[in-house]
Amino acid sequence: MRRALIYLAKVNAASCKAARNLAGLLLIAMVVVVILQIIFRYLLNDSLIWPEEVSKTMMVWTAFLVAPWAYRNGANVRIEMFVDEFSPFLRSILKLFLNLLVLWIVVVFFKESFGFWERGLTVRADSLPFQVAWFYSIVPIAFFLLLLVGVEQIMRDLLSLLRPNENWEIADQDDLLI
Amino acid sequence: MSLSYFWIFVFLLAAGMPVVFALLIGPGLSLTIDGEQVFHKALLSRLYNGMDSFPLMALPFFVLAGQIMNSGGITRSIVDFSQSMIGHVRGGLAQVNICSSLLFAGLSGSAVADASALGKIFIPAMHQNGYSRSFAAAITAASSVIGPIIPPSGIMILYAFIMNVSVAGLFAAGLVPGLMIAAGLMLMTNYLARKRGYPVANRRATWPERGAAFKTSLPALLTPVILLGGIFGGVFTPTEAAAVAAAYALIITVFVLRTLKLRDLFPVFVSSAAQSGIILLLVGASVTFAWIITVSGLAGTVADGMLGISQNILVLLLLLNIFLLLIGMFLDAGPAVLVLGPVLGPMFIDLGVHPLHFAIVMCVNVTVGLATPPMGLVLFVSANVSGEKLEKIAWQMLPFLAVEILIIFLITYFPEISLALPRLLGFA
Repeated sequence: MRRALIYLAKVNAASCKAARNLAGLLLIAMVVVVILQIIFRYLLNDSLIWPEEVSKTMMVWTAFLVAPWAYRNGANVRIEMFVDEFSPFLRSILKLFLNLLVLWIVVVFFKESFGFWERGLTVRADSLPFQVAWFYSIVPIAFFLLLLVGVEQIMRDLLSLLRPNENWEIADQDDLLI
Repeated sequence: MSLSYFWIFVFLLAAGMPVVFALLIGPGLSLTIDGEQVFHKALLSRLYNGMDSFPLMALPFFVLAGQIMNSGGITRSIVDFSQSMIGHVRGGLAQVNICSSLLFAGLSGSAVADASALGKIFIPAMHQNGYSRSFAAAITAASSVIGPIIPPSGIMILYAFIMNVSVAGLFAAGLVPGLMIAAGLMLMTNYLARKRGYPVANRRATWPERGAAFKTSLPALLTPVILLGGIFGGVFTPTEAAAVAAAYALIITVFVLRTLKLRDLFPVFVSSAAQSGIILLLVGASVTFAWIITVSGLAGTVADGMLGISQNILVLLLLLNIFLLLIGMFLDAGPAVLVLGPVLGPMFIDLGVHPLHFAIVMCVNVTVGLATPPMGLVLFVSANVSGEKLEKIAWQMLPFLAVEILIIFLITYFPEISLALPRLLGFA
C-alpha cells in the first residue's frame, strides 16, 4: 500500500498543481475578455455577444479546476474547533469516515457527470457554434481528479490507523493562500 | 422531502467536514435515504449552473484586484497617507490603522485580506511604538471588518447572488454603515488612548508633506472613485467595474509604479484563482443546498418556529441579531450568508423588512462574526501575524466588539441608515 500511495501522491500532486495553474491562466483570460467587451461597447459602439458566455464558462472551469487542489491541500473552509478536543485515534477514525463520505459523493457526481455531459449535447451554446456539452466537459474531469485525491486521502487515513507512529500527512503541501 | 439533509449537514459541519462537501453530502445522502436517487442529477446540474453567473464574476475579479494591489505595495502608500493626516493625535498609530482599513476597504472586498495586509505593517510598528501586541492585533482585526461593509464587498456579491438583489444597491447600502463603524472605532480608540496614555506616533505633518503623501497614494485612492463612480453612475455593471479594477491595478503596479514585475504576476493570478475557486465551488454547492431548502420547505418551518416565539418585528429582529452573532462565532461569513440567506430572508421580507435593509443587517452581522472568538477568521489572521495568543487578543477586542454590536443594533432599528443612499441613487 505504501508504494501505491507514493505513486498516487505523485500523480495527484502534479495534476492538482497543473489544474490550479490553468485556473490562474483562465482568471487572467476572463479579465481580458470582459475588458474587451467594455472596449467594444464604449469605444467601438459594437456589443459583442460571446464574452459573457465565454467568461462565465471560464469562471466555472476555474472553480472545478481548483477543487482537487483545495481538497488535497486542506484549503477548504471548515470548522475544526470541536474535533480538536478528540484524541488522535478518534480523530483518525473520524477523518476516515468523513473522507469515505466525500469519496461517496464524488463517485455519485462522477457517474452523473456523463449523463450531464450527454444532455449538453442536445443544447447549443447561446453565442458560439457548438453544443454546451463542451463547456460541461470540465465536470467529469474534475470529479475524476477529485476521486483520485479521495482515494489518496483514504489510503493515508488507513495507514495512519495501522501505523500511527509514522507521519502520513501530505508532505508536499503548497500553501499559496494568504 | 424530510429535513434529514439539514441535520446531516449540521452534524458533518461540527465533525470538521469542509463546508463545501457538507453542503453536497447532506442533500445527496438524504435523497438516497428517501430512495430518491433520481434527483442526484439535479444536484449536479445545480452545482454547475449555480456558478454559471455573470454578476458572480465580480468576486474573482475583486479578489484579483486586491491581491495585485497588496503584492504591488499599494497598501503601503495608503498607510503613509493616513499617517500624514492623523498620525499626530494621541493613539495615532491605532487611529492610522483604522483610517487605513477604511481607505483599503474601498479597494478590497475581504476582511481577511485587510487584516493580513495591514496587520503585517501595523502590528510590528505599533509594538515598537509602545502598544501591546495584543492591542495592535485587536484593533487590526476589529477595523478589518470595515473591508467587506464598505464597497466593494465579496460578501455582498455572494448575498446579492443567492438572494437575487442588486449588487449596486447593496454596495450603496453598505457605505454609511461602514463609515459609522470606522467612526465608532475611532471614538473608542480615542477614549482608550486617553485613558491608557497611548503614544503620539509623529509630529503633525506639514501640508506640503501631506500633499506629497496624497500624490503617492493617489493611484490607490482613485480606485474606489472609479469603481463606485462607474457602478453608481451606471457606466459599468459591478462585474465590469471589478474587471476594470483588476486591469487598473495591473497597469498601475506593473507600468506606472513598477513595483511588480511581469514574472511576479503568475503567482498572484494562481493564488487569486485558487482563493476564488474555493469560494465559487462553495457558491455552487450553496445553490444546490438552497434548492433543497426551498423544496423541503425549511424556510417555512423556521419562520413558523420564530413566529411562534413572537409576532413583533422588533423582537424578531433582535432574535435575528443574536442568532447571527452566535452563528458568526462558528461559521465563516461566506457560508453563513449562502446557507442562512435563503432560510431567514423570505420570512423577514414577508414581514415588511426591506430586502436591502435585511441584506445589510445580515452582511454586517456575519462580517463582525469574523472578528469574534472562538472561530473568527480575521482573529486567526491577526493572531498569526502578531504571534500573540487568541485569548489575549479577544480580551482586547471587547471594547471594539461592543462598538460594532451597538452599530449593528442602530442599523437594525433605523433602516434609513442603510436605505437612504440606495434610495437617493435609485436602487431602492
